[in-house]
Amino acid sequence: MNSLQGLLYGLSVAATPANLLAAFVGAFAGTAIGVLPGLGPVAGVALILPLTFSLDPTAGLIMMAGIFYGSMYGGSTTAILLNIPGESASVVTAIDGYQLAQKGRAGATLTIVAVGSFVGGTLAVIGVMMFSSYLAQVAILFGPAEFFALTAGGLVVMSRISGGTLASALLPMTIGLMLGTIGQEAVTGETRFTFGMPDLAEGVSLVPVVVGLYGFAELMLLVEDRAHAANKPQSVRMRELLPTRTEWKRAVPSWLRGTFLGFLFGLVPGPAATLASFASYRLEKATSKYASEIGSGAIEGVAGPEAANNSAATASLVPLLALGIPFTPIAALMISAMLVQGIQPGPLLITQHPEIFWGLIASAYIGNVMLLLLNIPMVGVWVSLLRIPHYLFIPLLLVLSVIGTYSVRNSIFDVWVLLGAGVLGYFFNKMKFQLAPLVVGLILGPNIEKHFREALFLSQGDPWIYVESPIAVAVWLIVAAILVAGFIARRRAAFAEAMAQDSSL
Amino acid sequence: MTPARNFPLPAARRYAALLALLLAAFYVTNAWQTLSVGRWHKPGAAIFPIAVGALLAISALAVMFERHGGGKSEPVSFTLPAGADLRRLLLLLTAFALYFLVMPVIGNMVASALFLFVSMWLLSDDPTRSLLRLAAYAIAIALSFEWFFVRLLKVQMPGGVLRQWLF
Repeated sequence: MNSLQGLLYGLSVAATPANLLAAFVGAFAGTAIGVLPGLGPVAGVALILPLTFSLDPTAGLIMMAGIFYGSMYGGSTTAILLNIPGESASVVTAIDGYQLAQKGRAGATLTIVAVGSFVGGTLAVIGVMMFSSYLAQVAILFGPAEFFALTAGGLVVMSRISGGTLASALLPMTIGLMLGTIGQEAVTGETRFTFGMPDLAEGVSLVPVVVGLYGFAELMLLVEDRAHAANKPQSVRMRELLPTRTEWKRAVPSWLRGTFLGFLFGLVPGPAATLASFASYRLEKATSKYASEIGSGAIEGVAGPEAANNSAATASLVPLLALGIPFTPIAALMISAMLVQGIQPGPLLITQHPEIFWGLIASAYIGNVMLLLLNIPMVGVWVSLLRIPHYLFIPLLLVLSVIGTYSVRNSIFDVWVLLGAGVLGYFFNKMKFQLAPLVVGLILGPNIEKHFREALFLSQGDPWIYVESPIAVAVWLIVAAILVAGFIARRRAAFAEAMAQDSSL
Repeated sequence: MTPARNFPLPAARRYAALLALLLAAFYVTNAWQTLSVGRWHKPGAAIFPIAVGALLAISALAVMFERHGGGKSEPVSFTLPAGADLRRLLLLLTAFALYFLVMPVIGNMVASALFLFVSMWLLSDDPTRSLLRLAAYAIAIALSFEWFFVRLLKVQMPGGVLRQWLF
């Protein structure tokens, strides 16, 4: 099946009433989650994960993807109207978006953002479609050493580009790896670190950790943040939604630049959407004809980053679909959903479960159209969601988090894990430690160990096996190149900052 | 104005790193004592945890000895709630813990309704807000969740001892 045939097959899968409904519910719920401050895409997908278990696997994954895209769309609404980014990828959107709203262009900006997200998401789906099927063919050649290089190398890259200092990512990442060693290990079946507690024998589940770190911890921060609770958004009328001809004209090149940049970022392990939006903002400042206006309310400052973050979010599906390796917390949750449904993600997914592979890709097209239709005409509804008082929605979301967590394994122990992860996430947020490496460490840790030990078993203890094959060597070289490029970029930035400080003295 | 207490960020991170260092020591010792190390050609279950423990110790040391104050945008302190806000946060955490502690006994729906009522009351800043209205919200949300998740989506939640009287 080539890409076009695959897409047509995927459209026939995604266009069934049940899957269309799943995409609609996902897009709707995702937008609501993105709009509500405190809950980002990760917590939204984590909360909804257990509910997808009662659905058909394809419908469940389509719903999760809808929530993911929807929350990316919705996160920018609060950024523009309230200067509160609904999720980290919308931080950049708030800079120019809020300024534009203050100038009375809130409606037009929301439209530019919605269309930009649509353009970024839709063009990136074409890339995912081409790239994933090709990569899946190559990935069939992968053995334990190659998978070890990919997973361990990916984790190394992620710890370096997650933001903050190296130590801020490395410490949470190793805690994630450590949590991943609890319970029965995959190679010999030995039970580790259970301390006689039967609940620990199955290991630490991903869902309570993610809901705790991203949902519970964020809600605790909202509880203490009364200043934002008092903010009320301005109303946006339908007739204000239409951008002027100049605004359309200025947005198009930014969308295209953002989409291309976002796709490249999406292929690299790490918080791709957030990094892509920041990189796109810098690119717009460097290349736009209106660079001097960026920062004080320029349409390029929202159009580029929004296309970039949606494109990156979509492109991050490539390693998930082609290799079965999750490099983001959301990809980890999607893999977790596949495993619960008895589907093994990886290079064979495209041949063993084409309905899931192509159905998910086709649903991304459909989901993007739905989001465009949901976001622009219904902007008033999303704005009114922002008026729900904290004392109503925080308890509601806390109850939802308990139901979502408990239902995965019918375990109260998991709810205690949720509370523990929530408290840890609260303090990690305060102390500027990164959360994503912890989640990715937890999900990749058992894979890294499995491939590491299997490779040694296969080679009769010869450690050269890790760098014997050209694929493994190529992966390690790419990892080294990304680390060196990051090092050079940081040195340049530090040098530029030092020069700026010197010149200001 | 929200009452809050400032804490120096570098010192707090060092305390966190010290805890991580102790955790690494305990984790590696436990792995060494209870798991098989194996041989190069047949690595045991202890190998990976020992490597992870060593990495945890290294990252903890990296946090302890990292330089601060280099960048202009680098935060030097963080705030934690104090006074009434701290009390409110702790009460909410206690209510949350009690919620799922009693859930297996009184059932998900009743426990959810009680937790919703208490937490709404704790989070509501308006002292004149009607308790009756909060109770109505709590019962309505708990009933909706019960209907949607347990009845419609067949999510398994504890029914508790009151199940036979409620349904």
